[in-house]
Amino acid sequence: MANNTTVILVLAYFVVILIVGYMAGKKTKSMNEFMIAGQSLGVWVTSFGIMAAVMSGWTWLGNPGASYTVGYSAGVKMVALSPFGLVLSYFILAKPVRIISSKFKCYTLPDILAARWGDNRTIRLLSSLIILVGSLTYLVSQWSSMGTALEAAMGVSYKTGVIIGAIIIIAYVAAGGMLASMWTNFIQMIIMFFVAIVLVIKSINAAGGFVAMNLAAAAINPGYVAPLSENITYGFVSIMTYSLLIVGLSYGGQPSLNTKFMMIRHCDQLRWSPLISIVALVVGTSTYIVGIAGIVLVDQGVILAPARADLILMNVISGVFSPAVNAFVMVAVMAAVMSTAESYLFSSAATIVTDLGKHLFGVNLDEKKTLKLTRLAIVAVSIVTVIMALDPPGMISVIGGQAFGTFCAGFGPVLYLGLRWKRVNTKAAIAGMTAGLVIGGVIPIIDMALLDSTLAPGVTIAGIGMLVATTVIIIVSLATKPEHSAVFD
Amino acid sequence: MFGLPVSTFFLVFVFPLICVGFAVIYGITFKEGDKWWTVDQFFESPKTKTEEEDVNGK
Repeated sequence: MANNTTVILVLAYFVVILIVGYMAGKKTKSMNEFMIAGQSLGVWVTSFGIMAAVMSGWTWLGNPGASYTVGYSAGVKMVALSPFGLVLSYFILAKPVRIISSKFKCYTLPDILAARWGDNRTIRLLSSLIILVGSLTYLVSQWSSMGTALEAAMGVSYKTGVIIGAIIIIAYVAAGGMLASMWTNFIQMIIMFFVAIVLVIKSINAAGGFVAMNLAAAAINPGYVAPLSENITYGFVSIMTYSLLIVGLSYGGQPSLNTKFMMIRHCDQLRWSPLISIVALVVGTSTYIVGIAGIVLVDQGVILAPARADLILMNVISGVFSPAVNAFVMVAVMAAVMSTAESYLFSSAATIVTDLGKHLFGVNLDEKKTLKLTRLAIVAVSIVTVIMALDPPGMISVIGGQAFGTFCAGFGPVLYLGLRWKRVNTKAAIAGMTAGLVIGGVIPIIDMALLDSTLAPGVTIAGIGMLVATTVIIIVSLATKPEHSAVFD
Repeated sequence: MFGLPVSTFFLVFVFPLICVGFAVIYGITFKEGDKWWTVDQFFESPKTKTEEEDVNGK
């Protein structure tokens, strides 16, 4: 049952982000402003906004649930290498993406890839397909998380929660574009940042302090403090194929991350942006420690064991914290879900109108029409995905979980190599993206949806996709003739 | 260490802090301007670089 403090705080949060959306909408007149915030954002808004878009509901519900199930090995798999992946993506992608977007008037990731490889139609089509498959399924799972979060926070039904959340996001995203999205992301990240600090410290204290908590967890089961779990999902192979290949080495493949590099006001402001982002990431992802505290608190009888592992955070906050803290945590969960949802809403709508409509099908659109159609596409994509989320079929929820790996395998190698190695030609880029999409996207989806994950238990297939895509790009590049690309001039 | 095996403590607490250090190094070594390094530069011979500079009149 929702308490009044939570309802009031959630409503206040909605009012604040709607006001931000309205104010951004008044400033948004052109496609440049709508799609990349007029390249006007400062270092703090960009750095925090990036992290809010990257951290989804999984950070707040999934990670504590995973660590409650297997202990610290979940932290090793899900969190340990993400700071490295983030720094690497800044190091390799941030500056080229910002410069290319300015020089070639790019608004989307397919725009960047097309600029790099001479406006090749196949590259634009492949990148649009990866974005649509990943973004649409990601959106369904985010609406679903939104429904669950609002159900817990406000006591409304799941379906009402999905619809309320979607209406609010559509309102500020369609009105204010990326300017509204990034400013709300900034606010959302500030909320997540401070709530995560309070949540983790109070959870550890409730479990008797950091050392006592770890010793108690180890006494319950020594496996809880081991870096690798006997559970193959958190074992060595899984950690190598997920943490190293996907999170560590191709983190920048996510459009919610790499497209944000276009929006910073000036290239030179990228100097300290990674440091700000990484601090936000380290603090924001520390929520998995709540799962470790949960193991101890359940064992001590302080809180009840959750019906499902991913509800451990809810049990900890309702059992240990005051209603006020409880309310702030619920707002942080919603902030995480909304910031990710709006990012993928943008990616999919922009790809439909700009990449497919304008560039591939040759629809003649001036700037005013493109802006109007992109706003309409945001509404249309929301309606379709919300309908799917109202009664989410099992398969779509499963596919949604695969979107992260699809993006990293499909875009990671081609971006990392293509923007830093002139030798990568069109053939190599097409071959690499195809390998990444098929092995990193299609096969894992078939495996999870139709084969019940029996194809390669304990292996993150998207990681294999990333490895194959990288190898294919290198071999094809060396085996075929080099091409000139204007982005390096 | 702090109730954890050293390997676990290193992976979940020390390694992320090392990455914060990488971000500091990125900031210190960041070069302003509209050019970015490519892998190809590491394979260019000093002679090729000198010839390019001559052509550009430097």
